[in-house]
Amino acid sequence: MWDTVDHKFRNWLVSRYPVQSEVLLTHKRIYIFPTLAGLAFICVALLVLMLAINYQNNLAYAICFTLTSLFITAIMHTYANLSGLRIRIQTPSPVFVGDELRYRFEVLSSRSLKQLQFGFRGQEQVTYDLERDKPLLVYVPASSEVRGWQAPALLRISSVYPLGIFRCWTWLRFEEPALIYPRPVAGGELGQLNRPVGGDGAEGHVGEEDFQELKSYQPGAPLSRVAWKVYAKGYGLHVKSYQGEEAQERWLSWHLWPQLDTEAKLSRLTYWAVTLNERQTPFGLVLPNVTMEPAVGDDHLREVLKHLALYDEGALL
Amino acid sequence: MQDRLATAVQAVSSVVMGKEETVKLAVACMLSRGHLLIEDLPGMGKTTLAHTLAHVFDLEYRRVQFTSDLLPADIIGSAVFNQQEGGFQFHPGPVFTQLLLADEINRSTPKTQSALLEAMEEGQVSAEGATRQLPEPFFVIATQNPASQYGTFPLPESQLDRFLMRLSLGYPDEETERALLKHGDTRQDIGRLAVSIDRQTLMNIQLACDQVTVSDAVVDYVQRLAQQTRAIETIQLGLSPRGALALIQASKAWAYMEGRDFVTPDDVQVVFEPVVAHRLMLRSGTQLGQSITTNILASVDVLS
Amino acid sequence: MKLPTFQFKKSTVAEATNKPEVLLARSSKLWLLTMLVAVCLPQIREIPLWLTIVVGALLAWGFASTLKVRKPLARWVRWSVVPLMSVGVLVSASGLESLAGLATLLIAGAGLKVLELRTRRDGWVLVLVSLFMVAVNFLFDQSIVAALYGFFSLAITFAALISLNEVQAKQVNFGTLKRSATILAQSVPVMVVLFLVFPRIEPLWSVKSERAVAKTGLSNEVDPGSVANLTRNDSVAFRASFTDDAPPERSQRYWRAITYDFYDGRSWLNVGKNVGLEASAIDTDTYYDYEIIMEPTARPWLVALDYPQSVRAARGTLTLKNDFTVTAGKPILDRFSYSGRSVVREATQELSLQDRERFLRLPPYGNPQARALAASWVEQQLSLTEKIDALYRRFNQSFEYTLSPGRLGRNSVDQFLFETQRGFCEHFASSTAYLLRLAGHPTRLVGGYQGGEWNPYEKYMLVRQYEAHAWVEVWDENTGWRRLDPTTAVAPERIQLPFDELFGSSDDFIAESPLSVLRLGKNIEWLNEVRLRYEAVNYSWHRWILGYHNQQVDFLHDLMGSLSTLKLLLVIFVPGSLVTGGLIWWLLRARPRRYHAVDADVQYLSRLVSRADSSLAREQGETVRTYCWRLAKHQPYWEESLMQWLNNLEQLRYSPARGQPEGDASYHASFKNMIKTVKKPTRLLGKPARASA
Repeated sequence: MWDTVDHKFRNWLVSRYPVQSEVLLTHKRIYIFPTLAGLAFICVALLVLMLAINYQNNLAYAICFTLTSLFITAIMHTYANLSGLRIRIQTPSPVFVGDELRYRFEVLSSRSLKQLQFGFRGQEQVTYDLERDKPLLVYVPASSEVRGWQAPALLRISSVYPLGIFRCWTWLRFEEPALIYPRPVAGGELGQLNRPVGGDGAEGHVGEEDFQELKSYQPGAPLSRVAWKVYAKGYGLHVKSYQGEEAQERWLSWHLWPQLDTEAKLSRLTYWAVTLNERQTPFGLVLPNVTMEPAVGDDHLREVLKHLALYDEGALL
Repeated sequence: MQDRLATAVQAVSSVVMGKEETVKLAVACMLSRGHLLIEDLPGMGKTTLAHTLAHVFDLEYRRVQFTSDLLPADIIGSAVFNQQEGGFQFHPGPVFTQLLLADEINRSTPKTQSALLEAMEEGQVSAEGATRQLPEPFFVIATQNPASQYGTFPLPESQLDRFLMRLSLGYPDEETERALLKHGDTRQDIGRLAVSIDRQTLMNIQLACDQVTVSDAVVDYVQRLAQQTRAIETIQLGLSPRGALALIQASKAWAYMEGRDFVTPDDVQVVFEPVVAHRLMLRSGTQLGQSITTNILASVDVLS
Repeated sequence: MKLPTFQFKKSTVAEATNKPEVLLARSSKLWLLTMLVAVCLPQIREIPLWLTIVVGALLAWGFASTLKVRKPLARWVRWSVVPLMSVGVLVSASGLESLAGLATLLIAGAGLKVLELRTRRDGWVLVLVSLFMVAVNFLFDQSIVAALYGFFSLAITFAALISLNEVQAKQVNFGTLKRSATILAQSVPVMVVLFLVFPRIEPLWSVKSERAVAKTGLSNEVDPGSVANLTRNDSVAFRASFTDDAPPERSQRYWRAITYDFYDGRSWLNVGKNVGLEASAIDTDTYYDYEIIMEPTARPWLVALDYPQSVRAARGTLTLKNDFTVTAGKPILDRFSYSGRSVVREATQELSLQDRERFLRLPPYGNPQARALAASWVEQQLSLTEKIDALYRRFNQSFEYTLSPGRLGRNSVDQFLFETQRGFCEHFASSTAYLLRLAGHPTRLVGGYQGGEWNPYEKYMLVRQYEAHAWVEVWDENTGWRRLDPTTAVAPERIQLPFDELFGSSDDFIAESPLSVLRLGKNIEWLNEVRLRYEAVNYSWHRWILGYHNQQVDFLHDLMGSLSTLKLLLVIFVPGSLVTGGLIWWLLRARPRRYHAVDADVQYLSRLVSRADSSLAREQGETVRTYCWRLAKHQPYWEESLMQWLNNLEQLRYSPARGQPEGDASYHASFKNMIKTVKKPTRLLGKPARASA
C-alpha cells in the first residue's frame, strides 16, 4: 500500500520535470529535511533550554539559542552544498548481464561541493567531492539484470554536508539508456561451429595444420608462429603462415543448439562471439531476424552483441 | 648563442622568404628534438625550408618522396643476400640520416607510414632482427598535402602526435611574392649560405633548452589550457598529457630562442597552435581550425 | 568476462559517509577526542579526582591508539572498566550536589564511550553529549573567560561534527575548524535576537537548594570580630549604578542591609519583627535613583542606600521594612537585581512604645565600668549630643582603629572600652549602642557597607565584602532616628578614603587572596586603570548577560515601547530573514577569483586603468607582456616604468629562482613606481596619447 503511494508520489515529482540531458539544480528541485541526527540535535537543544530555565542561566540560554540558530544556518549550508550543481548524463558503456553497470554523469559547479552522494533507488551510493569549476565524471552503479536497453532509474543526489543534521536531495530522471549484452555462458563446442549450419560457408577446414609459407616477421605477429628453426639457421625472423587462415570463418547461428531456450542460446552465442573475437577469427551471425556477414574486430563484435542483446526485446517485458 | 640562432633563422628566412615566424617555429621544433609536419599545398616552399634548415644546421639531408608503392624496406633498408660473403647484409635505407624530408607522407600506405613513425618515436630501427641506432640528431620533416584527398592515406590521429608541431607556410604576402617573382628561384642560394650552427653546437643548444626552467605558474597555465581543450563540446578528445608535455617542451625552446632561461605564458601562447592543433580531433572528424585554438587561448586566464 | 574496450576507469571515489555504521576515520577520531578534552577540562574542579584520572587515562589511550602509538586495549580490560566506573560514579555522585553529580555522570559516560569509539553513530552520541556539557559547564562558571571558552569548545565540537561528514582525511585539517567557526559566527545574529526576546520564565521546578550556595556577607548576628572577618574577603558584594551617573559623596555612601535590635551581652542579633514601612512622603529634592545587582548571599536581606524610600524588582516582590531595610522574603540564591530610590535626609518616624522598649532592652548584668560611665552621664544630666560628644572624645583620645583588634572575653564592652581600646567598626558601634541604651536612648545597630569604588568607565559603583561596616542609629526625641558612626570619631579617614587605601598594607586585609590585584595594584596607576576597565567590562557582563532575565522587560520596553506578540514576532523574523537572506546570498554568490599576489597586482593595474577607459582592461587570455605592450602603445609615457615592472614581474613569477614576492624589494619598488606613473597622466594629461595622435 505504502509502496504504491510512494511510487505514485515519486512519479508525480518526476513528471513535473521534463527529461533532460542536462540539469541545473535549483531550489525548485531540491528537498531538504532534518536527519535523525538533526532531530537528536534539537532534543539536545531542548534539554539545554530546560537547564537554562531551571537554573536561570543566561549563558545556557545562549547555548540553546546558538544551537537553534545553527540549526537554521545548517539548512542553508546544506542547501548551498547541492544547489548550483550542473549534471549531464553521458552515453553509458555497454556491459554484460550481471556485470557492474555504471552510468556516467558529468557534474560541474561553480562552487566546491563536498560529499555528494549519487545513487539509483535501492542501489549502492557513491560519494564524490567536487572541486570548483572542475568537471568531474561520476560513475553511478546500477544493476544489470536484463539484457537490452536499460534506461537509468531515478537518480538521487543527496548531501548532508557540512553538519549532518540536514539532508538535502533531489530526484532526477535521465533518458540515456545503457545497452546490456546477454550474459556470456561457456558451452557448446568449437567443432560444432565449424559445421555449416546457417549458411553455405567454408567447409572442412582442417584448421591450423596446413602450413603454407614463411613470411618475414612483422612486429605484432604471435611468437608461437615464429619459425625459430629458420631463425636459428641465421636467416632472420620469419613467421609461418597457414593455409585457410584468412578464409577460416565461423558462423554463430541461432540454430546451433536447438535444445536450449532463447536466453540460454543468446548467452552461448555471446560467449562464442567474444571468444572468437579474442582469437581474431572472423565470425558471422545468424539470428531469425538478422544475418551478419563474417568479420572480426571490436566494431563488428559490438554490432553482433547489440543484435544479441536486442533480440526479440519485446518478449522481455 | 641566441645571436647565432637568430643569424641562422635570418639565413633560412632569406631563402624561404617572408616566413620568419614559421622558420623560427621550425627551428624551435628542432631545438626541442621534435619532428615537424608541414601541411601545405605544393609549391609553397616546404622542400626548400627543409633543405635550407639542413644546410644551415650542417645536417646530413635526405629526401624521400612517399608514394603508394613505397614499402617499409624502402625507407628502413633491407637485407640483401651477399653472394661473396654468403650471408645477408643490411643495406640501410634513407632513414639513416640526420634530417629526413618525407615528402607527401600521406601518399604511402599506413604500413610504410608506421614504419617511419616508429623510427621517429624510438630513434632506432629494427630491421632483419637487429636494432640499429639512428644518427643523432635525427629530425623528420614530413609534408602533407591537405587539398588532394584522392588516393591518400591520412595519418591516423594516434600517429599525428608523434609530430611535435604542425606548421603551414601558406601563401606569401604580396610584397614577398613580388620579391620572389623578381628574384627568381631562391633555391640556388641554399648552397651559398654559410653554415651558422654546427651539429655539436646544435646538440649543446638542445641540452641548454632542457635547462630552461618552467615555473609552477606556467605549468598551471598549461594544465588549464589542456583542461579547456577537454571541456570544449566540439572537441572529441582533449589534449593528452603527452600533448601537454610537448607544449612545455616547445615553450622551453621558444623561451631559449627569446634569450630567457625561464618560460613565460607568452612562449606557451606562441607555440600553442602549432603544437596542439593537430593533436585534437573535432567531433565532426575534421581537425582543429585556428579559430578554435585562438578561442581556447582567449578563454583561459593567463593569471592564476 | 570483459572486453578491453569496455573497461571503465574507476575515478577516485570518496568513502561513503551517509550511514551511521560507517567507521570513523582517524581525523574524526582525533577531533572527537580533542572535543572531549575541551569540554571536560572546565569540570576538573567539580568532579572527583579519581574520575579525572580515569577519564584522562582513557582519553590519553584514545589518542595513543588512534595515532597508532599504542595498541587498542584488550577486550577484558575494556569490559572490566565499565562496571568499575559505574560503581565509582554511583558512590561518588550520591555524595555530590545534584549538579556536580550530573557532571560526573556525563563525563564518566563520555569516558566510557571513548572505549567504543568506532562508528559514526558513536561520534554522534559524543557530539550530542558534549553539546550538553558545554551548557552544563556554564552552571559552574559564568565568567567572561568561561563564556569565551564555552564558545571555543562549541567551535571544536562542531568541527568534530563536520569531520564526521567530511572526506575521510588521515590528518587533522584545520579547515574543518575554520568552517565550524564560520558557521558558528553566521549563527550569532539570530542567536542574539532570540536571546533578547525569548521570554524568560520562572524555573519549572526548584533545582537550587540553600545548602548549595555559601552564605556570605553580613549575618543576622554581629559579635566583635565578625565584620572584621569580612575584610579578609575581596569578593564583590554588589554593584550599583545611578541614574544620571551621579553617585553620592563618599561620606554619604552608607549601604544599609540589616538592623540589630537585640543585645545578648556579647552579640547583636536581628530578632524583632519589623513591619512594612508605610509610604512616607518625604518631600525632598535630593534623592538617588539607583539600580543594584546583588551577588547571591543565601540570605533574604538586600542592601539599600540610606535611606530607602521605595524599592522595586522586575522579578519577585520586595518589602521595605520600617527599619529601612529591604527584604526579598526568601534567600538570594542567584545574582539578583533591583532598583530603588533613596533620600539623603534622615528619616523621621514615630516610635511605638513596644519598639522603644525593644530598643532599650539590655542584659541586666555585666560590664560594670560601662554601666558606671553611663550612670555618670545620666547623673550629669547630659543631653544626647553631649553624651555622644563625650564618647567620641574618649574614642578620639586613645582608641585605635585596627583590623586585628585581638580577642575579647566576658564583659567585652568593658574590656574594649577600658583595656584593649583597639577595635574595628563593630567594636565601636556595639559599645556606643550599649552605652546609649544604658543612658536611656533607644538605639539599634545597623549592618551594611560603607564606601564603594566608582568605576568611571562603565559608570557604576562596586562594593566589595571588605567594605562591610556597622554603625549605630539612636532615637533623638526631637528629630527621630539619627545615624551615628562612631568609627568616624576614631578614624575619620575610614569614611573619607577608599577602604583599601586605608588598610592596603595590613596583613589581614583581603588575607584570603594575597595576590589580589587590589593589594598590588592600588599604587601602580596603570595597573589600577586596567583593573577598573576589567571590572567595568565585568559589570556590563553581569548586568546585561548574566542578569539579563532581570533586565529583559525594561530593556525591551525601552527598545520598542509597549510589548505585543506581533512586535516580538517582528523583532524575531525581520532580522532573522535579513540574516538568512544575507547568508544565502553569501553562500551562493559567485566567488571572485583569488589571484596569486603578483597576478593580483596585474589585476589591480587592469582595474585601475580600465576606470578611465574600459577598453584598457586586460583580456582574460592576454599575457602580462602583451598587456603591458598594449598599455605602452596606448600611453607611451608609461612605457619605461611598465617595462621595468614587467621585467621584474616575469623574473619573479616565472623564474622560480628569484624567490618570494614578499622578499623582493625591487619588484615592489617597480610596481609602486609603475602605479604612480600610471596614475599621474590620467590626472594631469587627461587625454591619452592616442586621442591626440
